[in-house]
Amino acid sequence: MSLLGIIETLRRNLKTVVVAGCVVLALVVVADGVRLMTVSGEHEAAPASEHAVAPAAEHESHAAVAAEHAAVAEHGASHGFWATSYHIAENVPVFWTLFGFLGCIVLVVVSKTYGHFGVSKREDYYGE
Amino acid sequence: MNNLWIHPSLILICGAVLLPLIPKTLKKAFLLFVPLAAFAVVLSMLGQPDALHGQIDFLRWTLTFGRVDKLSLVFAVIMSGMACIGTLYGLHVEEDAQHSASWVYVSGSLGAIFAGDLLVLFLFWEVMAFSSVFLVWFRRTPESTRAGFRYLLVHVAGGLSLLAGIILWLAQPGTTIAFDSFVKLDAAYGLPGMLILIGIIVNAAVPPFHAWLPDAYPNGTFNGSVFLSAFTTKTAVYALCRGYAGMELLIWLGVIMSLYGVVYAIIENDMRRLFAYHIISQVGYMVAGAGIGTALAINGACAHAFAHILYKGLLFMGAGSVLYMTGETRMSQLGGLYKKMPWTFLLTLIGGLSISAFPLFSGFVSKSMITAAGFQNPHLYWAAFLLMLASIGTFYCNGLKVPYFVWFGKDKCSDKVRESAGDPPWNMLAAMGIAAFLCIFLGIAYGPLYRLLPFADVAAAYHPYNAAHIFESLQILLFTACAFFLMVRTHKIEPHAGINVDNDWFYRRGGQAFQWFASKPVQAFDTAVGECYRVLGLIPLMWTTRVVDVFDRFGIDGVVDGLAERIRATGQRLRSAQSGAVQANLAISFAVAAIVIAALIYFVA
Repeated sequence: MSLLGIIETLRRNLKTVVVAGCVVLALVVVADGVRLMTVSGEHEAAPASEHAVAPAAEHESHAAVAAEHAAVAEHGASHGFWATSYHIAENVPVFWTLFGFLGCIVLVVVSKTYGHFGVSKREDYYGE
Repeated sequence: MNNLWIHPSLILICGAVLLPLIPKTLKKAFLLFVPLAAFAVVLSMLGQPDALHGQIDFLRWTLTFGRVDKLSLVFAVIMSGMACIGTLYGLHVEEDAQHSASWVYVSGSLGAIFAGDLLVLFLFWEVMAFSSVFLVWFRRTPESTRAGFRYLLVHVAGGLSLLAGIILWLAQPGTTIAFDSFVKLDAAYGLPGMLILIGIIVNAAVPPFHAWLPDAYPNGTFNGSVFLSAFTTKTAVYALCRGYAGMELLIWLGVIMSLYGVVYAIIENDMRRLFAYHIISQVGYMVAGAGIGTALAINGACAHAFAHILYKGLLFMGAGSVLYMTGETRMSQLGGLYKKMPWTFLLTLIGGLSISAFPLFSGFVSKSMITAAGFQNPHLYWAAFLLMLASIGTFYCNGLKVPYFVWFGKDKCSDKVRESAGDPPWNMLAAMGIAAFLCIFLGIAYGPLYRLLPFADVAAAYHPYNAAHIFESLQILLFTACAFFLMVRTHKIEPHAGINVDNDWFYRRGGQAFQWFASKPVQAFDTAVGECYRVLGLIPLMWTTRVVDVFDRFGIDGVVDGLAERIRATGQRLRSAQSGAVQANLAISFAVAAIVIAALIYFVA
């Protein structure tokens, strides 16, 4: 089937596509909840200050880089795929769901409002 | 010093000079060969120990044309690679000068990246500015001509700031010409350090010095903008990583520009201008990464620059294809093009998903390093959260708004646009296909990219594909899509014809005011004075001159050797060589200046 054929098929079955999309959304939220339950008993989010490191530019030796290396390795390697997040917000259920949904609406509203304050003009505004 | 080291810029410059001499039958092969040769030369440097090449003594300094280390190589690899993709994209363009300008532009970027000292950096910085402007001018519309001049003026001002900073820096006792970290030398906030920083952030399009970018890039040729999107800003990111890593001011500037670009992109109608605003937004991540300055953040800035050059090039290639085939890039005049341009849609969508940091696409493995570096430090949570907010706008614009309103949505195309729409020639699709493949490849097999990064050991310990990061990204992106499609149903986010005023208003309106002042009051005064002068001074003077001229030519010169007459005849011939176009004069001036500088360096040193 050609690429155009695939697109046309998806458009013809738009309702199914929308339902599938909603199922995926729900699965992502549920899966994140499962992740939270999996890690909550095992590990409290490490205080981030432990991982605070000096700017690379100030490194006179490799000591600070090595410290950061260890910090990153601790996150990635020791906890593997189910690694605990860097920050507490990642451990709040549906935090990023709301962040994405509301963030999008807020950005659009703020941008459109900004545009209406004299920023958006007709195409020949500069009249050159 | 290794005499066998070949500067990749030299290959590109030689190619640019030789291109017009190549027979037409060999032209396409030559077009592919030159950037591939430069790319191969850069690849041959991988795995070599850090070294300084191409050093020459000039006055009291040692200039270094080839500082090869991990930081310069990661940028050089992707830039020389992008030169190959960009040239393939415009392979069918018959005007040699367009290819030559592109190659000289890339050679400027590579030269700045391999520059080991401030003077060579400045030299190639200017090569970039003066060659890239032709990629705008070659579009040959009145608007692109004007935008090109504005672009050039801003970059000349930025270059002067860079030069002033370098001169003041070298005037201080105990300083060297080497281009190293000003933060490390505790000189970032001094006057020379700040002037050099301004010179760099003009090229990085950091607000308030950013308006040249969305002004010039959408006015470039369909393939010129692909080059423009890749090189100038990323060379500046390299310079920030080299000279200003860990400077806190950059975190603020980076976060501001990441959101600023998003806000303008959301209300933008022209798809190429929308992508241009998203360059500002994405470079904001890199600037913030340079500002955070930890090994992970610098890795993130470099990895993101690497990924960005590919996906932004791909997005501009997609927009360039629409422009090339239909002559239109305003979303208010497009829509429903998927039937005519399905492959362009798919490939552009891959670019949109990559820039949005969708899992399995390149942005996912690069952008997250910068935000992770922000989340490592509680004092930078605000920056990390604001960068996450900007990523919502990125997906909204690149992954949803452009694909939807250009290829789906309501068909608002004119008959001319609808008839001419179609997937572009094979070479354009091939270039987009290669870029799209690399976007996906890097998103899945990120190991080779991570091994290229300046702090490869820190990168090796970073794993982007963990459950928290995947679910966090999917939740943000999918629910952004959810909000988008709900808003589409309200018809509140339909693109409308119009432009958005940015802070170029000051110099565009200022220029118009100056033009009015010059053409009305000053011109009137000048005309009055000129008329008085003509009547009272010029007419009597001309009579006197004619008499003297006849006496000189037939009396004195004729008696001696006729030299004056010969000079006059030569002058007449030279006069006919001038076309009168300012761009042509500028091109000749740049070339002569470059030859004079090269001769000076050669003979003085």
